[in-house]
Amino acid sequence: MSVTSPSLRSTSTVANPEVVPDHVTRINEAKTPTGPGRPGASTAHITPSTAHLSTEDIERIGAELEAMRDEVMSSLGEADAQYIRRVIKTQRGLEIAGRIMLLGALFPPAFVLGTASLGVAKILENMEIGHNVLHGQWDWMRDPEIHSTTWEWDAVSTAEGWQHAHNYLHHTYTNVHGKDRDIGYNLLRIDPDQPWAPHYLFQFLSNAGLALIFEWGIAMFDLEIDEVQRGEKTWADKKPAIMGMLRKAGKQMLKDYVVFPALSGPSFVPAAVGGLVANLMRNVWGHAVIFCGHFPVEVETFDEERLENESQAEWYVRQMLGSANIEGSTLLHIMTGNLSHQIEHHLFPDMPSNHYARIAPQVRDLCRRYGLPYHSGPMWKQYGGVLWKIARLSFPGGHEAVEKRRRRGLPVIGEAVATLRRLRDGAAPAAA
Amino acid sequence: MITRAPAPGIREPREEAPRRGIARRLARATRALATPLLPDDYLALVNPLWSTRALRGRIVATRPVGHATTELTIRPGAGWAGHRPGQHLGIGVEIGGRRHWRTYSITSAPGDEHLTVSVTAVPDGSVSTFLARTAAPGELLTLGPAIGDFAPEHDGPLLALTGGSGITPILGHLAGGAGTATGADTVVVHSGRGERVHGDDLGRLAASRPRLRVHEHDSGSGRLRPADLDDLVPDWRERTVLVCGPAEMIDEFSAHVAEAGATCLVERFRPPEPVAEGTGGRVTFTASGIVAEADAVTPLLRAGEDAGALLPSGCRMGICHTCVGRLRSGAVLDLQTGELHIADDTTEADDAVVVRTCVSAAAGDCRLDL
Repeated sequence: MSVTSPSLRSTSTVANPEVVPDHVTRINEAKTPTGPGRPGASTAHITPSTAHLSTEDIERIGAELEAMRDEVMSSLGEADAQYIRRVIKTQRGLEIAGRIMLLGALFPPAFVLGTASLGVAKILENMEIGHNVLHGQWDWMRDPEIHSTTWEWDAVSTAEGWQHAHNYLHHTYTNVHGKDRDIGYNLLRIDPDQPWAPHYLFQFLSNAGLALIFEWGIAMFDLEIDEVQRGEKTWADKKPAIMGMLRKAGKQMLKDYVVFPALSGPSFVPAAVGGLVANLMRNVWGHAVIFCGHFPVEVETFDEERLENESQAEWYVRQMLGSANIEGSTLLHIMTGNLSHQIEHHLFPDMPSNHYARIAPQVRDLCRRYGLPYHSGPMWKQYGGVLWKIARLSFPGGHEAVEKRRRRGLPVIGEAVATLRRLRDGAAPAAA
Repeated sequence: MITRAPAPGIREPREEAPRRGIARRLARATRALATPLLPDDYLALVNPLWSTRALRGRIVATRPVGHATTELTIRPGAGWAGHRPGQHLGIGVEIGGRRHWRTYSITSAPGDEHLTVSVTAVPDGSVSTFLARTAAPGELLTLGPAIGDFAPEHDGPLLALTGGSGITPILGHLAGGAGTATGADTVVVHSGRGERVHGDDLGRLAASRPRLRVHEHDSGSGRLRPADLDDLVPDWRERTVLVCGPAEMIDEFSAHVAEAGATCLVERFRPPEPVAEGTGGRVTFTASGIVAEADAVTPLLRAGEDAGALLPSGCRMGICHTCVGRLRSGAVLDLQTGELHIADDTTEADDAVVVRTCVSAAAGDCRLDL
């Protein structure tokens, strides 16, 4: 990765958000190339959790992460290709099995098993396959059937719209106030710095509603209709994207609620209900996983000025501080599309997901050595933190309460500082 | 081979290969069931050869036809549209999880149930070594369509001048009927050093076909010269001359034949030596957003593929124009012509700069609409 070439995310791009590359940016290729100590460097990267780190420390963290990435990316081979093909085969098998069982959905066991099988298939398709393929994690295989430019997923949103909103906007501006437009910020008050409004009183309910219709929420969010409200775009500009989404959604609905139920003959109604329940399963699960990734209470949010001249290493640190992992079994990791390794995913969005589990201990150790928090916990704890925050922030204020819990999540700084001193003295005596 | 953009994908479902009767109607009806995938994606779970989304082939037999050369017999999957004699096809194999493409001449007859190609293992050639030595019956390959135009337009007499593995497209012509009682009168002058790739096949054909004459020349005892033609094939000027072999041979003979005013068709296996060098640079492929670092001599196609981009490709040596893409901005040097192509974002669509990515290298940072 070059650090001398012009970047897609130069300062001017940051200052002027409308200058967006006309393609989906590969995050790891698109970081600001400026180094530490450059003129005009902002101090906004200094948050409570990084106050003990010098610019050189942060650069060292960045270098270690780069080395981790290079090691994995140069190791990719046949076993990885077999992995993703096996997941795809399993997913398609589950989907076929689910559809066949739902043909006889009048028979209760067939309804239950068919719905479950279809729901799991939809989850696998969206999480471990769709999300990751659309990130370009498997592009290195050069297989046109498993490639970010050709994949279309089982959701009402179009792959193309999602790639822009998610890969580019969310992954670049992760947890930056007013910039990260990932789902949630539009509808909910998820950060104390968002101004309060009366309708947030009901956000516990709107969150539950969002969970149920999550795929529609994503589709709406991908359209970025707020650009029209702000007068940046016209409805005419948005028409192709809206029509594309409606066409896609129409086909999805037709398949789930008309064609397959019709094939089931007398089982029409239970088969349609099975499709609906499978979609709900996928929606609720996807919503929970995504919210656990960035909204647990300990996870940090950042000010826009932080983006000014943000170096690649600072970008890495922001990604780590702004994401949270879910601990659990291998099955849980696969069902979350390895977004249970949200920290590793945000560091290396285009790294094949089957490698996150292997590098997670290395990233955790890195955080420990530099005294940085590594937000990780079982699903109940992470989701509990999300729900607590949503509940607390339905009322005005909340800065202190959220900040208190955030600080509680920080590692013992003193120990880390001492370690760092030792490290620095050993590594570069001149700096002592 | 990757077909012309859009890459064979689901986002823009390409037209499926025509199927007959019930199969076609069924295929159309199942579209609604398979969305957002194609029915073929599910068919491929049962047998990859049934999918028309990606053209596949399975090796059904292998046969040594030289000390480093193996003939592969391949059963092409649904969607194989056939070929004409003298054509070649791209074969994609997966090595280390990555797909690699190489081009081989088809040596079987049009209409045969199976395709045959001959692969010579070249030193350090991972794909050729895999296909010639490792691949066994049962191995699944990805195929491109048959391409190329190495065939005369009429049935007049032929003279094939071949060197080494250059015999393969001529074997395709022979399989297609050249030299038989009803086929074109054919003379094959084949040069080889020691090794005789397909030597036995050639001998067998020469003995059984009434209108085929084969002259084998051992180039160990001195290269065949254009001047030798008058003795070997006195009537060569009345024949359509097909030349395939090493670059010097092609250059020498095609110039000689052209001078005599006879029709000459050539087939190259390697691109001509580059006449110029770029400077290298950062290449952005706008369709995928993939950014590749390319050096002064690496073709844009190679650089992009190595970075994971899906790019259209065909002959990979500047002939077929399958790989062309619009240069959006920056400079690109055509390695074969030495021509420098320059565009910037203000270049109008009418003046679009289109470059052959397989034989062009970066001359500074550039962006390609591919």
